[in-house]
Amino acid sequence: MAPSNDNATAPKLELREVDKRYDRVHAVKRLSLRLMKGEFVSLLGPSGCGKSTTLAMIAGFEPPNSGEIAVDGRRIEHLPAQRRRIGLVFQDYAVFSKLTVRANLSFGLEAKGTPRDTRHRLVAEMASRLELTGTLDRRGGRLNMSEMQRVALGRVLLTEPELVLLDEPMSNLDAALRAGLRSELKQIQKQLGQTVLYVTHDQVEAMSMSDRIAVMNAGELQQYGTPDEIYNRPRNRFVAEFIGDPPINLLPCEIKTVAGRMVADTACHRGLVLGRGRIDPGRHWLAIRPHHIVAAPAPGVGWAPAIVRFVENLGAEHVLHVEYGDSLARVVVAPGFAGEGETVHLAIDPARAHLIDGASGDAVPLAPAEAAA
Amino acid sequence: MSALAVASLAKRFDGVQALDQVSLSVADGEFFCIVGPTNAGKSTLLKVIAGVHAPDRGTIVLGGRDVTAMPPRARKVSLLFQNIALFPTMTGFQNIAFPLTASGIGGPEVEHRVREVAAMLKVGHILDRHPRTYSGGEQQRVAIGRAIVQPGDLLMLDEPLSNLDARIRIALRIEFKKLHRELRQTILYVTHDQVEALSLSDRVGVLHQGRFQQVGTPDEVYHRPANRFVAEFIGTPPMNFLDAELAEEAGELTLVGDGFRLPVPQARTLAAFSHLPRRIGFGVRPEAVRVAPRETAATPLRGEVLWLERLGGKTVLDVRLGRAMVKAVVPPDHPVRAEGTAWLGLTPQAHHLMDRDGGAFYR
Amino acid sequence: MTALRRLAVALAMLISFFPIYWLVSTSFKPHDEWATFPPVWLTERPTLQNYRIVFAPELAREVAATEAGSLDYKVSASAWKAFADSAIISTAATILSVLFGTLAAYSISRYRTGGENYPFQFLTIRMFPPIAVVVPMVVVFSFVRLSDTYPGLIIAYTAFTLPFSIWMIRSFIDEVPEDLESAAMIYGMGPMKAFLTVTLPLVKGGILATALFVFILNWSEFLFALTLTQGKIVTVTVQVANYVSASSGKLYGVQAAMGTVSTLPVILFGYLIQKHLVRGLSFGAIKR
Repeated sequence: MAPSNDNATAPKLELREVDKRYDRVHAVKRLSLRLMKGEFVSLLGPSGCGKSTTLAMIAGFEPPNSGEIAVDGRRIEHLPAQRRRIGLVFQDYAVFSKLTVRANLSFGLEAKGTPRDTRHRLVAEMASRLELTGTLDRRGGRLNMSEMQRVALGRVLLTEPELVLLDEPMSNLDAALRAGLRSELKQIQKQLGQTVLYVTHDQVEAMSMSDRIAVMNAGELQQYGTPDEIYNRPRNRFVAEFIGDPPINLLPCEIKTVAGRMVADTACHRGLVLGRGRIDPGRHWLAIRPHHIVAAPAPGVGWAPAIVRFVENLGAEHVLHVEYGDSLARVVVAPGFAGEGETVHLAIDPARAHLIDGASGDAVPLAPAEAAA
Repeated sequence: MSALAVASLAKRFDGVQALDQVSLSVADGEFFCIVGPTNAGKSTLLKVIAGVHAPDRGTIVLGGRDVTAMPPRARKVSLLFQNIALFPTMTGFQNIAFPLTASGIGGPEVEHRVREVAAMLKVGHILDRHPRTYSGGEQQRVAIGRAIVQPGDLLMLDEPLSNLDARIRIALRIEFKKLHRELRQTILYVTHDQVEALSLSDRVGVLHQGRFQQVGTPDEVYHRPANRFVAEFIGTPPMNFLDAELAEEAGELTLVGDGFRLPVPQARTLAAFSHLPRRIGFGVRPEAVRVAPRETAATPLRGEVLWLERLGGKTVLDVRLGRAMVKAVVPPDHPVRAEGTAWLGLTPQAHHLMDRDGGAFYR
Repeated sequence: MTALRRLAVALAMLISFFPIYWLVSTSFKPHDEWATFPPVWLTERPTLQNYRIVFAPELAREVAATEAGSLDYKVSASAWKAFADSAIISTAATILSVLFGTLAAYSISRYRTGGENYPFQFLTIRMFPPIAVVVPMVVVFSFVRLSDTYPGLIIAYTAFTLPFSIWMIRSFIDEVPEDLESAAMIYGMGPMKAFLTVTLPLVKGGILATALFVFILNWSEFLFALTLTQGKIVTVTVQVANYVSASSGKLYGVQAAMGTVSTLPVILFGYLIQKHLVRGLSFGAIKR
């Protein structure tokens, strides 16, 4: 096979067993990750999970202790940052406020030594593509956030990077601004077919824009999959709890096996038939999203009563915090469904529940219960 | 009696009118949220109430006492600072004990009260350490401890969650509600996050450009916003706005716009009914937009889905309707699951008719 | 790379330590080795005579009488007086400079006293070359009878180091978030007490560093010490300059002995406050 063929099928970015230690901290533990061309991937996790270190290693600001980083199949970990052809968009976009949009956009090109005429042409093209033509002579400090995002993106895209890294660009912005910026960023990325690695601690950003999400915690990759997989089939307790707002309920449960099927008893619900699977009997977790616990004002068969302790009004819906055994469970209901101190009746749809091993914290794969019959 | 009454407060800072005629009344025991974008004047308002800054005009009455001219320490308020502001040279214990020791309380009572508060906030085990060794959440809780150890007339919290990770933010949110129930104290809570404001408070004040745009219960500001700013700021995704012309069809007021013709059933209930202009705007909440894969009686309007934002628990659709863009929220298992044609249904509410130029909703 | 770096460091060390080495080594040389060519790097006949001349001139004269080719020198007074004078003046001027500096810096930092340009106006005082003002100052000082007095030099030194103090301390205070003081005030303290209990401990290291800096300036000052005195007050630097002889010109060995001893207080002061010099400005309690 000709090597060019290899390149065509090679991932745009590949990390193989990348490892990074600082004095006392093992920041990134043997991380392997592949991004295909044109993919939008988010690196999602809490502060200190290693996502920023990973970004710094890809960008070339930090050398890995071991492992390989390849772009289009070519190793780059020995190259200095400026020769990696990787674009980086900084937190808060870092648009130079004293420079005009034109000067901001041509910044990277000037640094590369692109001739003046070419520079002008490229800047004009990029400006029209990002609908910035009208703002070219405005100073960076006088832009709104949407323009700022486009200038920051344009500045990076003009250097024709193989890959664009975004480092929590929206983390300091008001919530109301972010929604608009998300759809705009995604649309620009899709339109240009640009490969993007987006670092964030905000699951909404990751869920809404990504083709795939890499969830990290304590330097380790927890799960790598589509937003749908991450949300609906979390691989372990960490992913289950990290994704979803309001957060998933983790209900302590006892598991017994009845006729080949696993049956869960929680503090309030008995005999929830989960399906076929293997797990040691004993104390485990039943994870269920607040949207998947059904609440009714009146009792029915299999419904358990619960007292509402707090109501969180989210406008379009309410989150009830109800007493469930020793702890509180969250249930999403329509506005005005129940007030604090009232009793509601709850049912759990076992088909939407996940079983998490109490010892290892891993999710237990479940086959549908019907298959056993 | 109201715990806090602020009248016509104004404050200029470095040439910017940070507060402009702010009036506010908070009832005893109430949980009141001030919500607004960055630079709305929220922190300034708290600091003026606390006495850290002096107002240019206006009065502040706390529990019946006019405190406008009093120094901070005489006002009997607590403030949890946005940047935490724990004293770095003191241990956690000394930090929490500070309000007691500074006002001359000493001996076993300090020990007792600090331990009590620390136990409630689950920070008893870190009291001997200095703040620089704390995690973000621990700093936060010790700072709360300092704010509540000496209960005053008013507890003020300035963006207490804004420095934390999204995940911790969601988990800690409810803690403030619990705190309120346990302390039964009047709380003034400042945030730029409308979710925190709606979910925590008894009443919400939406602050923008140094003025309250609306003050009301979470339901009021969400369902009956006063103006376009409030409607856009409260709720994610924000309310949709469409331009239309008013027409009278078969005795019913109808909104006619690009790609739609919609009756407004209760328009006559509006006090402003007789002087509604012909050119008008109206708002629709994204979750009130009906979406279907094919034309039905409930979804008669043809639109084009440009983008689906799948958020797990819900999906947000960006739909083009005529020349306008409409956001709709649907459940994750909704039959419309790809870009392309979709059919929409809208039911305009009378109280969502809006002055297109001024941005105020008609009442 | 590392070899090159080591070489550079070694060179820098050599350049900075050579004068000190030369000072100390000369202070132990007999007078015929002070200024010879080729130079004597390390004397084979170390003597304490130079130190005797500095601290015990009578004893030195007795010793010299037993030796051939003794020196004649002008200063017969012991240097103890010079050290005492310098200590009094430098210490007092440093304390005043840092005290006023802290107060001024605080009010500029927190209350914007004097407006935006005020700190720069202060700095312009420093831009004045002292030599340009020394003659008017001599005139003014003799007119108000401050010439050749302790308060006279103390005032002059305080005035000339105050801009430094204000600027340095202001930058330390600026780093302490105002919210810390606001918190202290809300939780029961007045502004002064809040400053003393909350801010001062945080800027202590910076103030001490400033004090060391100002002390060194004062201790080594020569121009004012020379022109604003007429012999009643003699500072260390003036005393060093006085070690000349009609027959042998400058008494390098004696000057070196005096110089060696006069660096000791500075080193001692620096050593005593070194743990504060590391800027333990704490943050961690502050989110920024």
